[in-house]
Amino acid sequence: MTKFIALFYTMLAMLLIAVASYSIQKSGETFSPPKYTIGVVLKAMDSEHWLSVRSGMTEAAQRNNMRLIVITAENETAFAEQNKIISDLLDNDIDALIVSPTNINHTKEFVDAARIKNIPVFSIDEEIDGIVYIGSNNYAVGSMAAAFMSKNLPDGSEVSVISGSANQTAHTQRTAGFVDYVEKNSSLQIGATMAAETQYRQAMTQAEKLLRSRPNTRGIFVTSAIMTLGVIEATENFPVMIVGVDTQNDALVAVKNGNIDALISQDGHESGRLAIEVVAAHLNNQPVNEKNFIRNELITADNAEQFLLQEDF
Amino acid sequence: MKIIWNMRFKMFLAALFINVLGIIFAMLLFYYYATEHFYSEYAASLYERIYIGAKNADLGFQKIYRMTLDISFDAQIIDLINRGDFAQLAIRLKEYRERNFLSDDIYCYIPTKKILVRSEEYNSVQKLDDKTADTWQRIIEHQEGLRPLFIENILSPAPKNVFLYKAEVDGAQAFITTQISERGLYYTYLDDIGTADSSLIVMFDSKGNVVSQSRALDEKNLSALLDKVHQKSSELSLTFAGEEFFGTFVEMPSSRCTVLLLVNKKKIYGKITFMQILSVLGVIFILLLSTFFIYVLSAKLNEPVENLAQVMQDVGHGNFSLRAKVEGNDEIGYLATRFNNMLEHMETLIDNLANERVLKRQAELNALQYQIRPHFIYNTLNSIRFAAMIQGAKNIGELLANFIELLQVSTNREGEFGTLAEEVGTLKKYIALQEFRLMNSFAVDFELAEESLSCRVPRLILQPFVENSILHAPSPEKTFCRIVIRSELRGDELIISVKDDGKGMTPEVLKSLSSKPTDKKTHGGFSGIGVANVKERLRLYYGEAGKVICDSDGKSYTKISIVLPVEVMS
Repeated sequence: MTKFIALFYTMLAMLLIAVASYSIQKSGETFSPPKYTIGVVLKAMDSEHWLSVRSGMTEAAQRNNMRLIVITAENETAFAEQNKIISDLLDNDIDALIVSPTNINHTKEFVDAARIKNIPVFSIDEEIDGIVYIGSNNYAVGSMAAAFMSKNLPDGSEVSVISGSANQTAHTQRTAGFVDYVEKNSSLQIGATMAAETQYRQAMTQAEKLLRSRPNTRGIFVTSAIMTLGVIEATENFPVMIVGVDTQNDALVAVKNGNIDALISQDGHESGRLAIEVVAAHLNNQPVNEKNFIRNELITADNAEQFLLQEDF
Repeated sequence: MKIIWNMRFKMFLAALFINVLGIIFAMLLFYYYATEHFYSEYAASLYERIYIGAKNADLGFQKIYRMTLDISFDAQIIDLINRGDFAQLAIRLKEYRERNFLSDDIYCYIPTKKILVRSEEYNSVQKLDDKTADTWQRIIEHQEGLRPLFIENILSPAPKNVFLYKAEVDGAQAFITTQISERGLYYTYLDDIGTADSSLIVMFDSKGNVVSQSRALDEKNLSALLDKVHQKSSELSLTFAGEEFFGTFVEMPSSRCTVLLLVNKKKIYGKITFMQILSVLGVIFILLLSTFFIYVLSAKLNEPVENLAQVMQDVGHGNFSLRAKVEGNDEIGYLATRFNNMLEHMETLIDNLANERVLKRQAELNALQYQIRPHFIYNTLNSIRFAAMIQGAKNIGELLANFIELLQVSTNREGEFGTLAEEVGTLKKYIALQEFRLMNSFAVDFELAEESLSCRVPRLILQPFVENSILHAPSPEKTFCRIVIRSELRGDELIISVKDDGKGMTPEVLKSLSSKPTDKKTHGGFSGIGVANVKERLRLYYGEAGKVICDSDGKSYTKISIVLPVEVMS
């Protein structure tokens, strides 16, 4: 009996100590401001893709006790403005920089400036030599599109590429992936590979031009969603298979309605989140991969609905 | 009122004591935790308040920065500057200004021509004098990047405090500056953070200068505040105008300005006092409630004990027929059961005692009856004896002497006990008398253990058995019997046996001897009180320790053994 009473009191005492220490520990918790400031410069904020990239970043930054300064250039062509923004950011005591450069040929200046200031640089959606990359495996994205066409088009069909800015590796890589796959692994024929600015109207004109010059075209791979939407405008009355890239609502609806045959997914939210995770790992002195790929999936009319539901805005 | 320290009251007090301790401890813990929690929650909510305001202000700054940059990269603007079409440029700047409500005005300063183009309707193109141009040039040189410059705008019609962003026009010798009115920014983003509770809002820029505030603070307080902000101290407090303030701050990431919110401590103290009162009221309420329950509980628990106590008291007054109520299977139930058993036991004991007393009195009466005659008989017998002696019949005289002595022993009530030796002496006189009566029909042998002779035995304990053997052992087939009287000590028992080799006893007689003694006198003469009387006496003297064991095969022997506890006569 005495043993039980002793045991009971011991347990009671332990419980009290636990409660007390918990409350003391709780009270010791003070309000600390975010530890790191991350500068983020994106290509533009004019498409759903970039908005979802930012949303993924903001969410991950809150989790990792970081604050973000997200600034974008006017549009995807304004590299000078972008570089000015980057240099201003580098002067503003940031702990890391995430960039999606609008022009791959003008990255050296800020990469060097960051190196001098000892600020780590990460690239998102666009590969820069010697810089940690986060985003799609663009070459694989092109191959996936080619594989889809090769499966769904009759042998010997002629297929073409309408790609975004040649100054962005994302587009050139996608094109390369597509062309390589068609040439090596399929019985399809490459018609033309055209480059345009990553804009709706430009893509539409390019498509019209393509169909005029090469009426036998049976498939077009377009390397961005906004351009794909322009392309389908031009190809409405032609029996052409259209495959695009990016996960965004208007394009998904077009896939669902059959205007676009397939999209290779590129979840902006996912790349934004991954970018912040990689930066956090780097700032916490953990090893970081040189290339950090997100998952790309094939979206057709069958599963478009499912991706539409996933979209968070 | 006199306090009755009964079990119920003690139990009640003990439970109440533990209860009070527990409640007070729990309340203290709760109060401590709640206060801590309240402080941190309050700080968190303050932080949340300024965080949102500061974030919006920061985004405002960022938008103006971006707009200034956009203008500087705007191809049309560059063209207008290069062409010198300043009127058109002013219109263009105005368009930009209207896009962002925060921008107070936008200037384009062309240093080579000392020309200032404004986004205003009035005086939109202005040629600055040398001094103003120089000053302006020097002022705007200090702004760089994302951090706004806080200045007094010397170019506006009435000087006012503004935040300024600058961008060098790409491909033309000109600077675009955008001004944000300090009051405009304050009322847009900061004012509603603190209007609710007469708090203090201060905004510092990256260099630690106060750029915006709700109330003017003196230099001393400001420098003290700044020190704390620089130390990143999480708990800010200061005394201002005799009142204590408590606060927190947020640094904006891109403009690197810091917004500080200070709340009057009175407000928090008021809330804490309220919490204290609430805690005390809670303690009192719970105490009252629990006191009632504890009282009811202790009464309920003590009910069986009190019942038992009442029954015990009544029994103590002599009412043995009462029985305690047995409730439950606990110690109290056990106690009640045992108490009832004890009462039962006591009742039988008292009955037995009364019975024994009646029996003893009966035996004494019997003995008295035998004492009525003695003196007359002694005297008569003595006279007869002396007559016999005088007449020379010495033999008869001795017989009479034996007889008288025997009679005296049997009627003498003074000493109920004697040694075994004395008992044997008496027995020998009795045997001599019987030998005279019954001539050659028996012989008696004694086999007595030496150590047993000094043992204490009741008087005339053997005589009835010897008489029995003398009278009943001989049979027509065997007219002469031998009687052996033996004594021995076995452990702490004295065993005396009377054995004859006569006709033995029938099982019926044996049975009747073993059964409970009755008052019926079985024989006349000496054996009047008889074998049963001996057994009864033994039971009275020794209880269970005194026994008479009868043994016979019904044809060749009878053995009567008397077992007594050994008591040596001193």
